[in-house]
Amino acid sequence: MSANRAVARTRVDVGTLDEFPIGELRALKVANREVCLMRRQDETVYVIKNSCPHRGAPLSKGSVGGTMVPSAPGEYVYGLEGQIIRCPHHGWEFDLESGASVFTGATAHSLPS
Amino acid sequence: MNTDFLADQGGKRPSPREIQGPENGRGIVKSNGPRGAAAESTAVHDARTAVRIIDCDVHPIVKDGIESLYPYMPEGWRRRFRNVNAGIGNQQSTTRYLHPHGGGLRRDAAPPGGLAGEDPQFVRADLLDKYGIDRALLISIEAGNSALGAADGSDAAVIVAAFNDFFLDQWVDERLRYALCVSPHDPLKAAGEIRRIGANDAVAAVYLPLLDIRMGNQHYHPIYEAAADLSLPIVIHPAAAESIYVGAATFACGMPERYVERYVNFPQIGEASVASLIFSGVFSRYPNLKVICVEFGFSWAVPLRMDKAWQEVRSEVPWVKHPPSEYVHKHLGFTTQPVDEPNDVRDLEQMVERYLADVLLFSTDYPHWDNDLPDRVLLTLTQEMRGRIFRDNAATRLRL
Repeated sequence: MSANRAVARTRVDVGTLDEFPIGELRALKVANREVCLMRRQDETVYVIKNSCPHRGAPLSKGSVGGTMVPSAPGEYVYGLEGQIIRCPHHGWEFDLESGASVFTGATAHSLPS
Repeated sequence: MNTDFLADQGGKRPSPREIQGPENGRGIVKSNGPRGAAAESTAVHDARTAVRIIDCDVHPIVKDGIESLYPYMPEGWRRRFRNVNAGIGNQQSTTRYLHPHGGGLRRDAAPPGGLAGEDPQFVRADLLDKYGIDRALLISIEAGNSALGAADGSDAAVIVAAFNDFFLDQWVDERLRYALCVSPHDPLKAAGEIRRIGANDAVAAVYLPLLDIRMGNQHYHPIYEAAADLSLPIVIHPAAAESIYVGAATFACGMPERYVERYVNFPQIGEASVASLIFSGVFSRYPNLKVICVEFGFSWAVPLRMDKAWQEVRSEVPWVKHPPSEYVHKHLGFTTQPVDEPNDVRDLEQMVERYLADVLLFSTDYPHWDNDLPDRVLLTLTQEMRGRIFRDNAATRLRL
């Protein structure tokens, strides 16, 4: 079991929902780990490791939105709104549900709340 | 932030596994190592080396746009630019090659309420202090872009002079050095600009935005002569104007059709420039001249092809008296960012050690989205190699 999973199974009080505005990325230190927390419109709260696995940039300084999903050449299809977090440096994208990189499968260790 | 990653590791080369740290074991894809043995080295930095890191590519922008440049222009020119509602850099409108994420500046490198790269105090704290960078070369892409965007060489010369005076007045100090920008349209005016301010101690290089004229062409010779006279290297850097403005450098085989194509094809311009400089005999004409290719990549810079061709058809270029690789090592430099990312970082390391050890210069490209921070890249190299690339190779090329 990785340390991340251990954290996932530990209940840590980080505050009330009201303290986390919807859509805002918040950096927090939980159980000695830097994490990034976000409360979504549907009241789902996501917590991910606050360090991009590429070069370690803080994901809390990134952005959350959708992305262009795979499509035919010359077409843009927008999707996954609210589900993608993008690193502020090189633009790597991660799915908040799985923590997986949209293109490589690398993970930012998303922890479902 | 630990800035001792250049410290002596007792001659031990960290393995890629050590460098990549525990994340490697969890299947994280290729990484030059966000942390690891080198970054966490506890060895003491060699106190004899006063300068630890030289960063050859930092981008300032002019806060509040062209209005901030007007105090640095004569009244007539101020009115001329006001009358046409002029802008600078990206204020000139085009949708061509805009960054797909909405901007090329790091979101997390902006001062409160401002834009990344507009506040020198913030840059000193967020880059130099944080990462132990002792010297950084400021290159104003805005100035280069503005020069290439102008059709009139006189307009361009005035506007780059205003940029130069602005940055020399408001930005430079012991650590922040400046690459004075010249307009390429009128090489005599450009040479005049080099002689006007090139003796300033804060000036460490000449930034030459490229026209669609090969670098070896006589058009540029007055600029090279002035730079060599003042012991200033010529720096070339993508100006964001390439294949946008008529007259600016263009890409091979037609216009890139999107941002990413253009981004990965910039080496074309670097490679063309190097071949042209060498085979046209610029370095025979100006034996003290040095040229640094910034942000054009370096994996293409291994000069094997040029040496082979020179051996075969040397008689076409009898003024090239030495193998091209000798000119590369003596006169050229290539900055590291954006570092290529092979699946096994040792592939890159071997190429660098074998061919490029004396010509690579570390650069961050701060505060741009694709910047390489010094505790995140090239960590698998030996201490000796890092010393050369992060410091020594720049110290012998820039006028610091």
